[in-house]
Amino acid sequence: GARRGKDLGLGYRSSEEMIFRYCSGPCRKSQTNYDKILYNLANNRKLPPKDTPSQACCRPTAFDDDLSFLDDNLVYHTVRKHSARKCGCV
Amino acid sequence: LDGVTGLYFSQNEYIETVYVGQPAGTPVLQVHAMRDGDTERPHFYLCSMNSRRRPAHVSWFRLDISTGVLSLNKTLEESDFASFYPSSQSVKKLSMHVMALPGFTKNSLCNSRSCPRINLEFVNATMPQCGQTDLKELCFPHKDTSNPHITENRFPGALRQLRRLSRFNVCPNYTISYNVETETPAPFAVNETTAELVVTAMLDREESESYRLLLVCTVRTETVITKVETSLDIFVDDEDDNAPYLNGTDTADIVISFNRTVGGSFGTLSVFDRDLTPIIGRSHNKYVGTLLNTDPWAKETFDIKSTFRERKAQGGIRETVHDYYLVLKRNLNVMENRTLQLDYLVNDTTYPGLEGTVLLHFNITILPVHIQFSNITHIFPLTRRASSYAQAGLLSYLRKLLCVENCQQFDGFRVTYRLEVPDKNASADAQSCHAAVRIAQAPDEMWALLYVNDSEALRRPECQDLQYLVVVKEEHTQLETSTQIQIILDNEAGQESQPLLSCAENRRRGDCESARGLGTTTGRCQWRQGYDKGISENYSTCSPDLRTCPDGFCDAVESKDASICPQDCTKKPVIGGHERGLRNGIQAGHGTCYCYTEKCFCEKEDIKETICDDMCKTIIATAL
Repeated sequence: GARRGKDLGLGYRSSEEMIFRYCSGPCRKSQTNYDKILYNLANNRKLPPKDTPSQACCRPTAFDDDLSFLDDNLVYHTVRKHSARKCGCV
Repeated sequence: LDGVTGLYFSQNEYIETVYVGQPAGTPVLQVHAMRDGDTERPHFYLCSMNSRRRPAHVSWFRLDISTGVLSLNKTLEESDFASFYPSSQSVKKLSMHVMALPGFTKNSLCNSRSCPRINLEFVNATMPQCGQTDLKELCFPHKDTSNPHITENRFPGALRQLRRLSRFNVCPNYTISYNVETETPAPFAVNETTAELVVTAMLDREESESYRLLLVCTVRTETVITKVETSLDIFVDDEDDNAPYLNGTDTADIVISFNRTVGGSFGTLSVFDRDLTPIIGRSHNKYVGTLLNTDPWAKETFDIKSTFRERKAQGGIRETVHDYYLVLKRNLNVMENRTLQLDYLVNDTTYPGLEGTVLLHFNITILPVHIQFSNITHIFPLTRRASSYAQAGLLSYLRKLLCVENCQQFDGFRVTYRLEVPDKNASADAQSCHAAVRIAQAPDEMWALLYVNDSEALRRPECQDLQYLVVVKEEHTQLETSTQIQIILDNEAGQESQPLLSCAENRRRGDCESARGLGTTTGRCQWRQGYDKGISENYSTCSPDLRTCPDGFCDAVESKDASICPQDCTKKPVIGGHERGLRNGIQAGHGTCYCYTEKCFCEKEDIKETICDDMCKTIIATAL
C-alpha cells in the first residue's frame, strides 16, 4: 500500500508517498530433498541447537525500479531495492 | 551623431478588427515609421516575408504610400469570410507585413529590417452599431499589448495613431479627442488635428529608459462628457553614444607566488560604459582589447580575459561593466622571479567619437617559491601498543601530516615526498626496523601523511631509535629539500599480534571502545554519539580516529585500505537512510552507520521507553 516517507523509518523527512510491495507466505511447495533432510535432522535433534540452518523462505527475487523523491529540505534522494517486484522461495 | 540607421517602426505589431459589410475605402489603421531627419519621407508598402505567393486577403487592403493608412480595397462580403478553410470558426486571422522605405520600390519582399506584422481579426458579423458599442471600444483597441520602442538620439515625430480609424464613423454625433498625461514632464504630446501621439524631442536612454504615459480619451455627446483612460509604456532603445570610462584605478598590482597554475586568474580592472551591451546580435557596444607588449615571454605566459555584466547606475539607469583580469597561459616555474608591466588597450569599436579607448596597466610581480620545512627536525612520540594487521600489515597507528611551508596553497606545480633511511650502511636488522613507518601522498595533494605500516617492527626490542629523512622534490626543477624525523617509542610492552578488524564494524559504543581496530591512533577505536533526529552529518559511528574519520574526506592513508575508514571512503551503495558524500563515503546518515568492509548500513535502533500513560497516572492518584 501507499506509505509516507517517514513511515519507512529510514530517517527521511518527506510527505511523498510510495507503493511498498513485500513477500510473505509459506514455502512448503518448493521444498527439495535438501529441505526435507534438514527438517528431519533438526527435528530429531541431530544438529547442534545453535547451528540450525534456515529453511526456504519467501523473499523478493527482483526489486522495483529506483524511487526518487524530494524531502522537506528540498534535497533529492533515491532509494534502491526498496520494494519487491517478484517473490520466490529461496 | 552621424550613424545612418534609416527608418524604423516604433512597434512590431498592429492589431485591429474588421467586419463583414465594411465598405471599400474604409480606413482600418495607420502605421508610423520613425525618421532620421526632417527631410526624410517614409514610403509604406505591404510586403511578404518570403517569396511564396501572397495570401489572397492581402489584395483586399490598400496601404497609402505616404500616410501609412491601411484601408479596405473592397467591401468585405460574407463569401470572403467563407473562402477560408476551415470555415467553422467565427473569427479569422488576417495577417500581413508592412515595410517603410525612403524611396519608391516595386519589390514586394520585406526589406531586411524588421517589418511589423499587421494582425486583423475578421469577424463573421456586421460592425456593431453606435448603441451597441462600449465607449472604451471607441477609444482604444481592447487588447493592444505592443509597447512602442523609440531609439535614442533620433528625430522626433509621430509614433502612433490613437484614433480607432475603423470605428471613427460608428457614432457620427460623438466628438472624440485624445490627450496625454504624465507624472513627470515627458516629451510626448497629441497632435489634435490628426490624433497622433508624437514624441516632441530627441530622447536619451541614459536619462530615462522608459516613459509611462496616461492616454486620456474624451468622448463628448450632446449631453455627457466621458473620459476613458489607458496607460502606455514607451521604451527607449540604446545606441553606442558613450565612451568607456574608468571609475578610479587603471592599474592592478598583482603578486604571483604559491598559485602558479595554468588558468589561474589575478586582479580585476573594471571599465564602465553607460551604454548597454546586447547579448543577442551584438549590434553595438563591441569591445576589442589589445595587449600592447611585444615581449614574447609575456605573450606566451599571460592573457587578458574579460567578461561583461550589467549594473544599475545612479538613477536606476542600466549600464555595462567590462571586467578585465590576468590569466596564466601556462604553469610558472617555481624559480621564476621577475616583475613586468602589461599594458592593455580597450577599444569601444562602435563608439563614433574619438575617445573610445581606455588604457589598462597590470603590474605583475612573480615571486619564486622556496620549498622548505619550517622545522629542521620533527619528533614524534609513539607507543608500542600496536598490533599488526595480519593481511596487509597496515596500521596507521601513527598518523602525522607533513607539509612544507605553505604547501596547502601550492598550485601549478607538484612536490613529492619520500622517506629515506639516514644511514644507508646500517645492518639488515636496523633496516627492517625502518619498515615500521611509511609515507603516503594522494596524487592531487601537496602534503603527505606518515603512518605505521609494520607494527611488528615496533615491538621488536632492537627497534629503539627510528630516524628518517623526509625528502621533498619539486617535479619540474628537481629541487630537493629535506627534514629529519625522529620517532620515539615508549617502553610499554607490546601485545600479542592478532588480526585487526575495522573499527567501523562496531555498532555499539561498548563494543567499539573495547575494540582494537585498524588505523587507530591510540590503540583503541573511538565512538561518536550522534543525538540528532533524522538524517544527520553527526551520525553515530565507530572510528579509528575521530579527528580524521569520519570527516567527509578520504585521505591518502584511509584510501590505502577500505577497512580503515569506509565511512569516508566507501564507493558502494549504502543501505538505509543516508546522503552520499560528494565523491565517496557517507555525508550524513540515519542513526548509527556501520560497515562490513565496504558495505555500509545506516539505521536507527529503536529504544523502547516505558510510556507513562493516563492509566498509569490514575493509579498513582488513587493510591494516594
